[in-house]
Amino acid sequence: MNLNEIKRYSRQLILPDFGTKQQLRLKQAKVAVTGAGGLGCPASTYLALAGVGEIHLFDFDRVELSNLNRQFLYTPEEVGRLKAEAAAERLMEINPEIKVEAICEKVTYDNAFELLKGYSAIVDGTDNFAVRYAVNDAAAVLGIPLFHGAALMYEGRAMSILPGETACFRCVFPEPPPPGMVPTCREAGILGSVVGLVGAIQATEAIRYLAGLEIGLKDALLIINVESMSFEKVRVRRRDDCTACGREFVPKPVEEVCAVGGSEEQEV
Amino acid sequence: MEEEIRAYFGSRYHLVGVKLFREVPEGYPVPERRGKFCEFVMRAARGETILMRAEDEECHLSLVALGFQEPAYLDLQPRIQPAETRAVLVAPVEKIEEPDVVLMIATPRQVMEIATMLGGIRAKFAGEVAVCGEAVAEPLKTGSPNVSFLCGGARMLGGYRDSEVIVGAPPEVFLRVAERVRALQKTCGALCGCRTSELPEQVISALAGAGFEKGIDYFFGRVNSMNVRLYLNKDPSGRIEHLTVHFPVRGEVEVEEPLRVQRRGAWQDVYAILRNGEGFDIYTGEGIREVVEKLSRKIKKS
Amino acid sequence: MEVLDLRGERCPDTFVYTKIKAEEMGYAGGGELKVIVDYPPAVESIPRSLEEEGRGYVVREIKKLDERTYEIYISVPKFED
Repeated sequence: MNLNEIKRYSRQLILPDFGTKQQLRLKQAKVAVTGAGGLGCPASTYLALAGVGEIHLFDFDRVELSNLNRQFLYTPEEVGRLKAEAAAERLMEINPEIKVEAICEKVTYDNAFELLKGYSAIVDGTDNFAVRYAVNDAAAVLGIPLFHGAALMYEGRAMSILPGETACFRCVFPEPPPPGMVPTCREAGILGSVVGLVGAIQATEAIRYLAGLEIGLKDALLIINVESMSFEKVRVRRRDDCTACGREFVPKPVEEVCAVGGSEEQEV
Repeated sequence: MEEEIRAYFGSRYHLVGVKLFREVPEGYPVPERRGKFCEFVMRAARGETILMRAEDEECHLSLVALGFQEPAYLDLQPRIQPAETRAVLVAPVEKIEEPDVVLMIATPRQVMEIATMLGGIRAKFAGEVAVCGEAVAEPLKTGSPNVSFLCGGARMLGGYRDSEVIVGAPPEVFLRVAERVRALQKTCGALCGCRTSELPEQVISALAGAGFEKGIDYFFGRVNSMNVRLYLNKDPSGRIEHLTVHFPVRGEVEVEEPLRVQRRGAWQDVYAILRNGEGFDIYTGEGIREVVEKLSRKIKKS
Repeated sequence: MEVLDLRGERCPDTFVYTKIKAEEMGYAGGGELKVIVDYPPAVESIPRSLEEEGRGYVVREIKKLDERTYEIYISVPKFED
């Protein structure tokens, strides 16, 4: 590490259990963040600040004015720009010691298994069920740890998945809810600080995992309600018959449930 | 002495007594985990009693400054020489018998006032080994007060505010400060009262409700057929922490605790410093009249 | 020889930065480290704190360059963990 890196990370390096070795592990890590929206902004920012050596941001969408109540990596001048590109630039300004790449491609069930190869971890910041299941199944097959998060209205959820070891998203939710049951954030509304909370939790779990430290959301779904500010950890179990991580992998693409106009993929 | 100094300066902290031992004494609480001397001083200023042994201290520089160890690589100054210290006790000054040094965590304004009372302080500081060296070792060596602006470690990990510095002095120096405080209160109570125009409306009406009229910097009234003046003292955060009650009495008097007497010519100034919340509430007026009446009954004219 | 120029830094940062650099070197196989400081108390605290780490660091030499500037020469062993 150069003196700038040493100074930059010194406050986390003096934490008990977190030291040079852990920092070097972060530096060597390559993390995919799917979605550069409400979850992707805080998650990728904290990954970048902590010193994750290489971050790849997946998002094909463009910045809209209505994103700016929660997606803090963008300025009003950037409305219309590709999000992944704008975010990658901003993150490298914030931490010039790391590398951030923009991948402005749509993640689908067909390409996820190829696109997500070779990462140390995936932080999922999409709220589209089609992409979420694609990312989950790809992570399970590729054996890549996945840090799931979701937020809508006043509720947030997070869960950490270590393939072959802990329950995956599909173990807990084998099928997406029927169309119309879950409103997307475009219909339901979302507060920036709530997605910020969830994104920060995903990043914290990912950082601790990458550093080689124990993590708290294995086999557990964290359910946050900010109206009562309650944090509840629900135990979840691996399922032997899970089509993603069980005995036998069965490809099961999920239809995009969002029928409301505009782009199909939406970040929370 | 401590209560008077705190009340006068409106200090949020206890004065801290520091006592060095050449053998580890029995019967004092030791820290539950390692820390820094400057951090233990801050805890003592908030009321704790802590005995620090070499193994409790994680700052090597303070071990050298406090005389636990001789320096190994360079002549670090100021430090206690020879290095015969085995333990250091820190506690609110009233809880320590014969402290070697007394410390006061202070704001620049408080240091200014102390300096004027002492006829000046020649401070010597470098921002290095500060609470341990500059505020303890230096006054021990010279016998004179010193002001330290703390060091990087104390600022980062000691729990001090940016607006705070530390005065270290032999106990006699603080006794002189306490005498000056008493003298000032005797001759000029006005110095320690807030201007009533700066007080919250709530406090003024609370005192009016208790039967005390507003003066420029005090409230006045009659209790038990005696004149009484009430002064309010703000702490640095603006909270009103202390109420000073004065009864001017002609002729000789005998009083009971917590009352004290200062002679003012033919008059005796009988006064007590009370802490808000102890039997009365300055913000609601509740209990004020009763507390003052109770005090007035402790005055016996002889 | 790796050089860590800490002129302008104070305690406890001087030690924190030295520790991080030394650990990184330890994980990379060990080697010689020169630390330059212009905060005299660090000359006293860095060697002691390194010793306390229990990593087998050896302070080889302390050179005084001028009234406030010192060089501390440290041998960093290879870490096994």
